Amino acid sequence: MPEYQPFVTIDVWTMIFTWGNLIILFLFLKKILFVPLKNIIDERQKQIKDMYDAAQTDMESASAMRVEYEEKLDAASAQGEEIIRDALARARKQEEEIVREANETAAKTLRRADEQIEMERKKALNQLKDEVSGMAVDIASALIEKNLTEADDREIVDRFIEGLGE
Amino acid sequence: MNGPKILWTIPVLGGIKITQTTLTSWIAMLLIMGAAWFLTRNLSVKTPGKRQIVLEKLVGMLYDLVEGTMGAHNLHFAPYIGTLFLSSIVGTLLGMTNILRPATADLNTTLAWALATTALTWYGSIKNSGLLAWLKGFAEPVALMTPMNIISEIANPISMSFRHFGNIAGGLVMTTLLYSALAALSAFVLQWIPITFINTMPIFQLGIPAFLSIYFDLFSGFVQALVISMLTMVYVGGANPPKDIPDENM
Repeated sequence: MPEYQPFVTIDVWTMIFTWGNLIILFLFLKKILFVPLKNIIDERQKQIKDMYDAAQTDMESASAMRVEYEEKLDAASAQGEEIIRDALARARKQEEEIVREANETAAKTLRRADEQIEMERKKALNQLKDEVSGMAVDIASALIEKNLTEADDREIVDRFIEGLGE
Repeated sequence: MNGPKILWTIPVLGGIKITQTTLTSWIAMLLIMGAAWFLTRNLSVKTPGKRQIVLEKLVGMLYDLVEGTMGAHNLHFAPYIGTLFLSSIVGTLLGMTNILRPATADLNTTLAWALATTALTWYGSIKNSGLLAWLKGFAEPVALMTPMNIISEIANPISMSFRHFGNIAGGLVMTTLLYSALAALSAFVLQWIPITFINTMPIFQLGIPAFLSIYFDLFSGFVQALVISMLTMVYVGGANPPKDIPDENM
């Protein structure tokens, strides 16, 4: 016949075993289960937080860099425009100068050509005068058949030609 | 209705009785240890397995509950609360085997846990406010209340332990009554069969007690484990208030 304890009783040894089990289980679970898992959870959270922080830092520095690059880009394009403007202005000035020089040269050349033409004309006229006067002397001598000294004749004809030319 | 069976008596110190309760709590302890050891192999921060994810969720819930009830400064109590909860629920559920008697159906188990809570509470109070201030606390708000406060302090572990014990032991009594009632019903229904083997077979005991067990073992076991853990958290948390908030009475 097995022996039973009363339904409700205080048994110190059962309580002592319960305490012992509780303490042993507590120490075991703390070392094996709770603390390692809690550490892992915390470690993972820390890693995630670090990652977020790093991402935040990266983003901030990236946006700072973008602002910087945009500024540089703006400065560069402004500089480029200025260079182009300068170059254009210089080119226009140069163009004007070249055209002006060309005009001057052309005018000078034209004037010289006019002068030469005038000179040639005068020369040609003089030559013509000489020839005409010679021809006239010949004609006159042939006509009047009078022997005059050539110097006298020439003087007469020159006066005649002179009268013609006016 | 008997208490736990005395399995062995160690003949020292006037006879140490090893009861069914003690056996169940040893088996519960070994099961929890084995499960904890098995489940926590190969823990990893970056590549947790399915086991670890579930386990982390549960441990995280425990720590969240402790933080919510006792405050972040009392988080180091979480392993103790978890141990208490697991001891209680496994000690209760082992009774479902019908081979072992639930460890929590013995007042000594629950009383030991309740006294441990009281000890932690008193230790916390004395450590935080000093022995004299703690004793003076009994005479507040007026000296007339001193007997009441002392009774309430003593009543805490008694109410805690009897609540837990009563629920589980009551379930055990109900289940036992149901089993004998079903056996009687079986005998009554089968009495016309003239074969002894068949007409003594308690056929109604098959399956039907399982429904009662869902309430008395699963539900009640879970609720009582939660209740004793919550009460422990509340009492111990109350004895260890946050340090940075000054006491209003001072």
